Amino acid sequence: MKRQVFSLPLLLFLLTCGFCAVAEESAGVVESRSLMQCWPAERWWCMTSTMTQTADADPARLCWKVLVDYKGGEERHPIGWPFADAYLMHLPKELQDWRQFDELVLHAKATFSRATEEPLPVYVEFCAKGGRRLHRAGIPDPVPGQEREMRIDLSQIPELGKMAMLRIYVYEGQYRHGDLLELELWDIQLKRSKSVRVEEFFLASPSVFADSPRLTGEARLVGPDPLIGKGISAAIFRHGESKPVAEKLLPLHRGRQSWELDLASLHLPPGKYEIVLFADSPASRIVREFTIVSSPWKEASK
Amino acid sequence: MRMSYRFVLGVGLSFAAFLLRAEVLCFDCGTADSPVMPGYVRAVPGRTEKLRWEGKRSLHGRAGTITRTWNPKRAGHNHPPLTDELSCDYWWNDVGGTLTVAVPEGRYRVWLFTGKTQWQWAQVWDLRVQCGEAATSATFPGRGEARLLELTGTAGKDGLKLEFSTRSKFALNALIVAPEAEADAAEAKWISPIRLALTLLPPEELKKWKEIKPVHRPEYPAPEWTDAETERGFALFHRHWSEPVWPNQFPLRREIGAPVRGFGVPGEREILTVSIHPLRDFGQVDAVVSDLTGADTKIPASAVDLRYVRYMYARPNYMDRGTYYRVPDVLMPWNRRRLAAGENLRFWLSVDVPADAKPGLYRGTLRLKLDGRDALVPLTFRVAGIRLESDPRLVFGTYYDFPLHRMDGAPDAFSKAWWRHKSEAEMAHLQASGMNALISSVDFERTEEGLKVYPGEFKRDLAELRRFGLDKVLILALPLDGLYKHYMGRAPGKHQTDAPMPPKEFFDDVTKAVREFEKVAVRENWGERYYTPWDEPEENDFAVSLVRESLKAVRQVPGAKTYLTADPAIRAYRSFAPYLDVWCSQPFSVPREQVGKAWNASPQVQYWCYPNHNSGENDHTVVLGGRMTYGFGLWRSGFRTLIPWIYQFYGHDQWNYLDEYYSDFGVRSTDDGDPIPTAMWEAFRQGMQDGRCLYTLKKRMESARTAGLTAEAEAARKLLDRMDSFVPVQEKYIRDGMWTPESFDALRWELVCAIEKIDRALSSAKERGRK
Repeated sequence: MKRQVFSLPLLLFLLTCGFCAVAEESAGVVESRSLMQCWPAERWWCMTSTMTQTADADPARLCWKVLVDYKGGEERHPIGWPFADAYLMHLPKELQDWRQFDELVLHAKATFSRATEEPLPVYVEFCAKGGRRLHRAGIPDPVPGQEREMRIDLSQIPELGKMAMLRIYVYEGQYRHGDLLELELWDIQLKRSKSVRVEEFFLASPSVFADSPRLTGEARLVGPDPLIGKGISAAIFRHGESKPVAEKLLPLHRGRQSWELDLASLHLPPGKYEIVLFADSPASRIVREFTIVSSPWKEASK
Repeated sequence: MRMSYRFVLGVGLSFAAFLLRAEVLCFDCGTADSPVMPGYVRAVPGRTEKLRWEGKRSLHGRAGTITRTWNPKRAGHNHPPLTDELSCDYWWNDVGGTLTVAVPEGRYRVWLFTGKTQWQWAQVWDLRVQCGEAATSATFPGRGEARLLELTGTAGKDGLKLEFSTRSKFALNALIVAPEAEADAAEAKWISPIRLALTLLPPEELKKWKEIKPVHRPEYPAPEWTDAETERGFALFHRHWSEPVWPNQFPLRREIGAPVRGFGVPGEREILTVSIHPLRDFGQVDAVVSDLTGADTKIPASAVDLRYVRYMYARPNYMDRGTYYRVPDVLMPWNRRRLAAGENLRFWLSVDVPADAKPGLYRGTLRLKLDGRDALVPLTFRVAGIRLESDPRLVFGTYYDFPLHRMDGAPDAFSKAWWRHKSEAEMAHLQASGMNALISSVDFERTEEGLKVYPGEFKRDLAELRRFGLDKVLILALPLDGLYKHYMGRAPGKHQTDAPMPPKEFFDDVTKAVREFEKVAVRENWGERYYTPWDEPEENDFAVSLVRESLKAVRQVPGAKTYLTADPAIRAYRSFAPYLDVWCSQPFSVPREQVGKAWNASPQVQYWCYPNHNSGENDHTVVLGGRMTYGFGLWRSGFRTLIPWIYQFYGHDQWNYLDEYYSDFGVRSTDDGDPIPTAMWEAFRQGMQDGRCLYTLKKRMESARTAGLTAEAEAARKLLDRMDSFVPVQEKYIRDGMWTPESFDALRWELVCAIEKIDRALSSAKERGRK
């Protein structure tokens, strides 16, 4: 019922947005929102390059063509530094703030007019108003003719709230006059987890002194903010024991971040320990080992 | 009427005092027709009013050129130093004498600007000036370094007498003399611009640059200062040595008053640091470290090297021109200094644990005196009862600019001796730091008469390398730029970027030269050696073909092996494989399994790493990354060697990182030519020590197994396996995704304890065997 209440206004909104069809995958734990229909070829603003759409492919594909011309403009550079921009303002309102999503996923395949085994320098840029670059990510190893999936963790992008457009861009240095690059793009999607998950959990202090036991690390958390609440519960277990010696709240929020946990008040004796997230949920359980070692500066013995 | 008389008398006396008052004198020393800085008096030897020189030899004037801004077309080392009217010309002399300044009796502050001589690279300039009891001096090499010296002296009836002496030549570009009462004003008006040009850039160039905030500098909020901290005007704080303390950065509350402590192993070095965050200006700060005292023993204060961290203006990238920031960098020998409010001062204490130090807990203090007020910082230090071993397989090297090569071009005995001393001091420092190899070069050339090979040139370098144990392997650079030029009439471009294929004769010459070197090498037992024809080739067809054929030419000589700075992960370099014995890449780009397989294969292929990202080439604060790379990172990678560029790099002035096309970085030099390390250099040493702990435990594990101490051996194996699994493997260890500095120490302590435990077990077993 809740879902219907949510979808009806959304549907009305999409209709008012010129039938910009935004698909929502309801199955699974990850919600995916396609941007393809909101950004058809004619929505891309291209500089010294063209964007077309293949009608016959399923799913639909965009095709960005760059013909490198060193002679028509500035020497040794393709004229106008080719790029193609798609604007967030052309997306439905609820897709315009990418801070609400975990990942941008896109698929790409490059073809090139001459034989090369080298990766082609093709980038995706996240730009603020006026073209100021917030972040750049290279399409991973885009060897001609091979399909690639690109996943960009949105939490790592600084000032994401200021993002105004997505730009496809080539680095001119490794192209030659007359080169023709064709880049197909499809399945451009924003994704977010529907449940709380810790995607990465790095413990930067695998060994600590008994008189200053402070755990720190880095984590990446996905999932809806309301479910995350004030953080994630972390349990500290002595190695081999089933009952935790302590339970603490790790104040994590969505995205990538550093974390810190001071265990000094627990006065834990030296030994092997584990920090466990989601201790009660075997499917999402995350365990990291650490050691508390005797302080070298204890008077009697080390 | 009386009032009026007094008033007139007062005005009259004031006017008389004004007329009689000593003035600030500013002399721009140079030649009769060289440019003069506005506001300064032209000073020509023997022809300057108020200046009189008496000496065995007269003063000479010399003028260079003025270069106010960077000319991008003159990139590289050929760019002259940036100069203005003041620095472009100078007086010089090679024996000394007395310069008398005609001023009224009284106390004066004197500034002497010396340097930027634009003369010879190998000349060492040396100046000592004495005025009564006060003296100041400077010694520096080259044509672009400069100093501003200061002293305070008294003028008698005959004026102010400045005694100049030199051991080679001295230069004097400017002399500023101010009565003491006006010294501060003179400092602001005349001296500040000189300082600015020396530490940053001349104004015309500086206005094109922008000071930025480094992205990796963390900002902390101002702590709530306690009444005691506010009252005394400073807070003492402790941060782990591998985390930079930036100039105007607040400490964290938990760092204030945190204990300063460390542990060490006999024969090794451990670092302690203490920082002051001043809440107001202090005219003088001094520091003295005490002995570290144990139960019935001590580590003398002389074993604790006290330094402070000097902030430098640096660029975010060594080739960047236009942005800079201030960065903690060089570990200067300690001397009393002033403190400006808000600017942190970090003390850096290197404890060289004596080889015979007894195990146990030691205590001592760092006594600070801030404008007469004492503050004691307690130091706690644990000495462990073990000895560390070094893995004989590993090579720790660096690219290196041999001072001996400069010595050859030095024009006088003092300069030659200075370069000789610099060479010896640096090699001793390299050895003490754990290094065992340097990149060197062999020389040959194609002349009209034919190919000339000069193995003798290298023999002197080799003798020096051997003397200091830096000959574990020899990496011999071949001078192919010159040969290429001979055949092609042009240079191959930086990184061979534009290098059409030379004729067959070029490669024949390479083979012939290497054959000649090999004959000598075999005859004189040079040991393990590799020839490197080029450096970091570009990935284009020109570069790849030239480099591949050059490698092939070297390998034509039976037994000759090759080394190249090229990343094996790059597809374009695949064709090098059949001709390459050592791949040297910046990242640890090859998986450990592949490294091991290649090491054991026949023919053997080795993977080495040149971690320039840790050497200061760009970022001067990758201290933690340096420790990781040199210790756990290297151990986990399976690579054999670390050999970054470069031990010391400087262009014109070693104390100005902005004044050359490339930024300076790495170890600096004292006036005597002794090395001054950086925090990053010390991180290499600490990383190596982590590595030695890992290696020593492995060796002890094997000994325990041999001695039948199965449980001990098994415990050691488990610990090593656990450490192996903990290492957050990265291709380049820079800043992110690593352990905390404290965890590095705790992991090392676990290793130390495990080694100690096996040592005890082994010695008990030995004892039982005896019984």
